[in-house]
Amino acid sequence: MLTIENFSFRYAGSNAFALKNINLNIFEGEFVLVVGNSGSGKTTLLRSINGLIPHFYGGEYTGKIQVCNVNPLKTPPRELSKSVGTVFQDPENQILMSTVEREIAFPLENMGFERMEIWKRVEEILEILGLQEIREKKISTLSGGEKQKVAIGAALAPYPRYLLLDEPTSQLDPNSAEELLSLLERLNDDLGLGIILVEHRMERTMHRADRLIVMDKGKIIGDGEPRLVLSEIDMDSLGVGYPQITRVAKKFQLQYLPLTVKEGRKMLNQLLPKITLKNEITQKAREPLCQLSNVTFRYNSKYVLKGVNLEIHQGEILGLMGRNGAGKTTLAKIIAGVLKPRRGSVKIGGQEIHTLNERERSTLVGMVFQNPNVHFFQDTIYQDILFNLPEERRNNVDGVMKQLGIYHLRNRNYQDLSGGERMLSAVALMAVREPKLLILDEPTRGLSYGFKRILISFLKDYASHNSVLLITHDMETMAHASHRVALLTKGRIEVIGYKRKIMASSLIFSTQLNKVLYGKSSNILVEEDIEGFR
Amino acid sequence: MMRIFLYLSILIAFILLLLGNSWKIKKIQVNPLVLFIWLLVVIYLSIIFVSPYFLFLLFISIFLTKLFVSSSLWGRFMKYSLYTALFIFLFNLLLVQYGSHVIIEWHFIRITVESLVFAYSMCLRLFVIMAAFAIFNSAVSLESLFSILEKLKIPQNTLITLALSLRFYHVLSRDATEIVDAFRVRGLPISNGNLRERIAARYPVMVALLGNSLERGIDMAQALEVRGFPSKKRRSWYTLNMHPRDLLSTSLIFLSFLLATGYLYFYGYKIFPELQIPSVSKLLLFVVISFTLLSVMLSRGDENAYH
Repeated sequence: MLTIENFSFRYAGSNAFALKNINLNIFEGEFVLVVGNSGSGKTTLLRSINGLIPHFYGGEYTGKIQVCNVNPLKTPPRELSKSVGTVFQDPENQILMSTVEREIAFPLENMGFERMEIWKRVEEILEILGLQEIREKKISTLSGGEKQKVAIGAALAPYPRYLLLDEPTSQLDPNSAEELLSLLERLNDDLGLGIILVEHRMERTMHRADRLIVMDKGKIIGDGEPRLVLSEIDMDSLGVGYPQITRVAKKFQLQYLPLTVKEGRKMLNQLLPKITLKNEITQKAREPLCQLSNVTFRYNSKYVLKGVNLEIHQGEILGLMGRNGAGKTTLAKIIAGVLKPRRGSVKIGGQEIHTLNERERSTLVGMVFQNPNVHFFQDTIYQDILFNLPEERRNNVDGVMKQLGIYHLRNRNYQDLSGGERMLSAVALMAVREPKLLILDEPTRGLSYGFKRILISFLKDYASHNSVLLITHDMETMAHASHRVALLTKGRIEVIGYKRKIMASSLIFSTQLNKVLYGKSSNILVEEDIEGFR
Repeated sequence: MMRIFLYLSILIAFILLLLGNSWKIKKIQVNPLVLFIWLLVVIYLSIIFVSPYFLFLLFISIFLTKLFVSSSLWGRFMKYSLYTALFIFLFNLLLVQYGSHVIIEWHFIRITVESLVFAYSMCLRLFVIMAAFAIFNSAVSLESLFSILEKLKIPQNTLITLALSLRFYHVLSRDATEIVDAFRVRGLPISNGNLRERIAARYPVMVALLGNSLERGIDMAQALEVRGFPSKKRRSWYTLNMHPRDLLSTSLIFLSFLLATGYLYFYGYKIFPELQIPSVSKLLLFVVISFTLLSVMLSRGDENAYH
């Protein structure tokens, strides 16, 4: 049993309390989903349970916490790890050994288990998590999903009663994320392991949880059965959001809120009379801004791109999708001029991009990288945005920051910001330069609903006078933002066209809402496509 | 005859360096602890001996070991050694001006037979050390190395720092590439500007890399805490057992160490002012010292230990 009584905490050097008067009981075997906007106190709550607060992050606290009869406020995390396992966001930064089985054995070695017991537990964990095949593999050769499974394995090895996970899927592609969440559900069902999961992916997690805890400004404002909590709280205004189909059902005041495609299909008869496709103003075909012809690229002897032909039009947002490792980032880097194609040409505004120097290129194309951290180095994000910015663009800065909702953070260092705030700052940093083509590589990974809405709105505005290439696995964002979409497969772009033509009625490359309406109102991709939906 | 041996050794060394990567007879799993002792002795021998005759025989001995204890890193290590050796050779040839048999003397340049042989010895020394590391690094996992060091009572904190540095080397190198790319996209003249601009452009890259690394460091420290580290009751999963054949192998390696030390104590070796050409009996002793090291292949990795 995990009990928290009247617990408040503030970090050293901070005036505001990160957690305020928390009262909570979590039973062993419960699957609890904790949601909330950035800065709501989700991560601080997990740190208080696993003992990182106050032993690693110092500060001032009041109240009591008890985890399996141990007080984390008095017991260091290394002692507590027998009862509470923790998995962090970035798999890269939490795996400490160089092979899979050694990583799983590492906590057991530290706890001084007998050699035979270590063997037994390593075998069990490998079996439960399906890691037998890769047990001797080097960590550096694993995919993100496999690394995160190994991290779960290391956390499970001491047989804890609770497993805490802080946005474990934020760095993963949708397939790996789905696999990981299914695994957590299985561990919860089969082993009775208590799961406390902090996540932003509502449509993938909500139906798996027994209990939903909603946090805002350090307080718990909702706690209970997910459907009940969702019906009581306006999650959109909190910036947390709903699964797409839940939002539609709530809008049309259905009594029972569906959480999955399956539940949505069951309620189709109730939904359908209320749903019609909004009239859409069709965009006129415009001049191409960026032209790629026969672009070929290889790493060592492996060809990643095999003759890519692509046009990005002026004033459009082109969505680019493709499986992991398909070469999307490579293609983006070639368009941005940081990689040189082996063959073929890339022209932006009629100029061959690879004949220009860095300064000339930066006026034509900008790119926001998957990891926003690589863009920052100054004391404040405001200084970062101003760095190397041409004089004539300096007037844009405040406006762009306000539009992205980060102006109030301008004097903060990037390390003090959440993942979402960092991504929006990176977008601002590139957008203030007003490149004719702005490329964003997976900008919504780990972003909350509120941040996604801000980003989408900003991109639509930006594309009204420039162009955007949006690389994402997030089909909802793709459907909301893009005009056309392209699919990169086997080193070529074989599928490209208007988003409804490509995404509607697709099995994978489609939204939750479209899957629910499959065969009925198949052209509806997002809520805003529905007549009367604001 | 000894001169012919010397010329021939140059030819053979280059053939083995360039073509030896794919040559393999059998894969023997040797005992990591014995291989570690072998590595230390090889490094010791390559440092105390300057004789090109001995270093060449030592290189051949390592190459024969490589045929059985196959090394996936041989090709890569030898390629980089060749580039480095080129500089070492020229550097020594031009700066070491001792020796009595002058080949060329022009202004400040003075090349002698002895300086030529010395430069060759220095290159052989590099090849020997790199070849030994190529074998060791391929055959022994990072964790086995730590188990060895743990057995040698190296402190836990030092070991974990070393482990993390080695594991995160690739991550940091990837971060560095990404950061350079990100700043190039922002128009920083990293590859197109003049030298001064290019050097100045590296500053933000270094600061960004440092910031990223610090953040990774904090994350890792948290991960270590929740994985139960540090601990006074830590017990290694990997056990290093020494069987009789491992002890025999270690004894023979130690014998090689003693013979080499004894040889240098009693006979010494000089290149300057005049190159010493060893007698046949001394050459035979060189063969014994270097080829005794092949006994490392008598040892076997413990089947019951991890791996």
